[in-house]
Amino acid sequence: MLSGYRVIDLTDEKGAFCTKMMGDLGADVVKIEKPGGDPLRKRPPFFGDTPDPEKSLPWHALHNGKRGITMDIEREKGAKIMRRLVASADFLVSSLPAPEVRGKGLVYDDLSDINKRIVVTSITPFGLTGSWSDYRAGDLVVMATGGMMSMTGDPDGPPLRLNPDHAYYIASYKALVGTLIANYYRGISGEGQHVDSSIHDSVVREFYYPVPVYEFEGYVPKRVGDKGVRAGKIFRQRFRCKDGYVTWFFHGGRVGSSTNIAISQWADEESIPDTVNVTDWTKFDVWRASQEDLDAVMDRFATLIAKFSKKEIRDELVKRKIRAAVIDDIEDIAGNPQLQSKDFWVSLDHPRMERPLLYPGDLFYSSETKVRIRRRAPMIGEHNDEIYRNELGMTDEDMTELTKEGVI
Amino acid sequence: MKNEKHALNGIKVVEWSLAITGPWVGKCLGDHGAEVIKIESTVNQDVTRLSVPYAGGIAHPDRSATFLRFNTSKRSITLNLKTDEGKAILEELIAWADVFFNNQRPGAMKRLGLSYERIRKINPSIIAMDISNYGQTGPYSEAGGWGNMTMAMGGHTFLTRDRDMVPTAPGWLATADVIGPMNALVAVLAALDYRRRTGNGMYLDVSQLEALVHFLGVGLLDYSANGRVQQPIGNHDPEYAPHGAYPCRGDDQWCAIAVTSENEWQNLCRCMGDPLWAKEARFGNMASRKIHEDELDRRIGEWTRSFEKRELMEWLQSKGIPAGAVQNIADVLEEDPQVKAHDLYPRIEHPVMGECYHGGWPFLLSKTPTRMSTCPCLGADNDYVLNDILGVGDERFVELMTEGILE
Repeated sequence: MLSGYRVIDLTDEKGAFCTKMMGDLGADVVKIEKPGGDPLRKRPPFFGDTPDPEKSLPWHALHNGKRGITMDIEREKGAKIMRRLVASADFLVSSLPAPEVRGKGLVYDDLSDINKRIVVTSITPFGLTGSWSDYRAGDLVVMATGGMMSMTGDPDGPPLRLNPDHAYYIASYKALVGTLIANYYRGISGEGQHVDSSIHDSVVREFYYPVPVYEFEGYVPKRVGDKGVRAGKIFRQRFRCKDGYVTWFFHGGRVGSSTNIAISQWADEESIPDTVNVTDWTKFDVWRASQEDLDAVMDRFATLIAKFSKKEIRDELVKRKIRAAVIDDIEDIAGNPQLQSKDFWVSLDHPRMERPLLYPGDLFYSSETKVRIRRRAPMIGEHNDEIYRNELGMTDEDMTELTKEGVI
Repeated sequence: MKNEKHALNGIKVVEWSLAITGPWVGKCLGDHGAEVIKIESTVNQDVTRLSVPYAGGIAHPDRSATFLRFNTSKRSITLNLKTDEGKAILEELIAWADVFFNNQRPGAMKRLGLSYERIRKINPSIIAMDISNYGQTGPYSEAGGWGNMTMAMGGHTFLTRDRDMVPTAPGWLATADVIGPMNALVAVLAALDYRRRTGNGMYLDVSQLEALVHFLGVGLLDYSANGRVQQPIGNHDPEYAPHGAYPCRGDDQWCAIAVTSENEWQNLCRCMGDPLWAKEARFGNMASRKIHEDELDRRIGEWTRSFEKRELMEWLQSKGIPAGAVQNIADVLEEDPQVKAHDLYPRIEHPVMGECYHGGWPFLLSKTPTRMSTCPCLGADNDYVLNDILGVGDERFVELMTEGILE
């Protein structure tokens, strides 16, 4: 869907998922690494657990679908090549810290002098303006400042971040939304612009429900462990089964009725005592019910679920169309029948690995074109020849000189 | 607001959606300038119109502050889609639109007689999108579901916890409901540009599940390469230590500190007053600190206790150490300098709820800012949509009203 567009990629793990998705969408993404290799190549885990810059799995997860060149943009000759690339690019996406964005001439005003159509996206911890804009932060720090941690975890334990690097991924998604809005506008106006994307702000804009709770119910939502809270009522969200956990959120009324009827029927079949005896689930109002009645319904579900294994429960939930789910780990996901039915997984070889890796494939389905991983991540400097020689027309002498000087 | 350019001016969108994932897509397009018509029903209302909290504590479809979160910058029309005339109006709107999307339970569109084939007959270049938990096909498709289920199925719930805890997810929301709409927005925005360049519309089938699974790329490759099933690590990092949230002065006050280099560690030691314990060999390098991180966390936690969280954050940051106060909702809405500088929660007047917080977007577009208007009351734009957009004329309008089509 984005074929024909060229993206210059100056991202690290904070923003690499944004440009990875642009690759899935068909854009030609050129990842620029420092000579010698990107720092992400040193991050574990590695293929075969052997540290090797070509075998870092974070590198392969985040930079697949891209071509790779090495270039030191801090050297004058590097900066000069960079300007040539900028002149022919449609997008530049960076996740360098704010002071470096300003210091390296990567702000929109500098780049638009070279190419007024370019869309420049910066993904930084706190955005390029505001008194925290120069602060250093990784995933944990912005999860903290962004408010999500204060509401996640046990009430008597420390605040907890979401699954590793959640902030980077959600910020990458939102930065891409901003980038594609700017892209559409460029298409009709001929003008590029700057997309100043903040990871902190991306996390802040995740908590939808707590804002009205604070504003209209007048209290600050705190950690509730594995529970959920609505209208002051406590809803269990975790139910232990034989070999794991199940999640179910108890909805009332018409919305929850088909699931509630199916659960009730299943529990009857298993002869689990019913103390609430709801006769018409479409009229059961969870907002008005007593906590005791809610607990009785949830306890009955807990007793039911405890009798079965994850696999048995999965089958029953699908068969009975119950809106509850098993809490899956990575292995469960790899075997998820829904994903398998959609031919989701993509296997790709790598010259330095003995076996192919299985990657998550499609982002979504489009009737016009596949939107999924197109190639494995590049090796260090893998596309130097292709881009410097074939596309920028450099000679052997140019290349030797730049290599000798440590520019590429 | 008057003479500003908005990026999506001129784009016409019809949404038949409910809850969170669908409405959020329409909000984004509307906030950036598109004209968005939300198809509603007085009988079968969007579930968030019937959700707490209500402004003034009065249960009413125009008072739900939850509905407000996902439905700014839209027009609302109520249509009874169980009537032929109601369906005919919807088809006229589909003929008018550039984008038509829904997040009804899979199968609902076909039951309404609106398969993609049919939609394309009405409007050959339309972008039509179905949004759902797991997609329109496959064994899980029909059951539909909620965000907490996709988080569980996508591995996010399993991984969000400390080593010894039961799986935990934020109790106040399901982040799948935030990720899903972003995936749908990527799809529809890319499709709009594709259509501008080629003239072709398309059909899009977007799920929450696929988007969530992509967040776990590293763990999935580790499983594929090494057969390892990724385990939760809480606030820790695979390599770096210290890396955690530490208690500060006051009730439930914390500051996150994440040391990622030797230099940052030395700076932290200086801030702590170079205590003797920090000079012990077991804390002498990153790998060794990582092995002894529980003890390290305890020591640092004793030191941070006497500080106010925001003071500690700003002091450590001034010394180049990544640190961040664990902000609660009140901190974020009232004290956060970034939220203020970026006007992330503008206060806008709603005709029934009064002036209240509205949520903006976490990216600033330098040439085309957002233009946000508050969410519509139920059916507030029946007249505008039928007369100004479709030009049904007075006679038909009265007929539609009296025959219960606008319910």
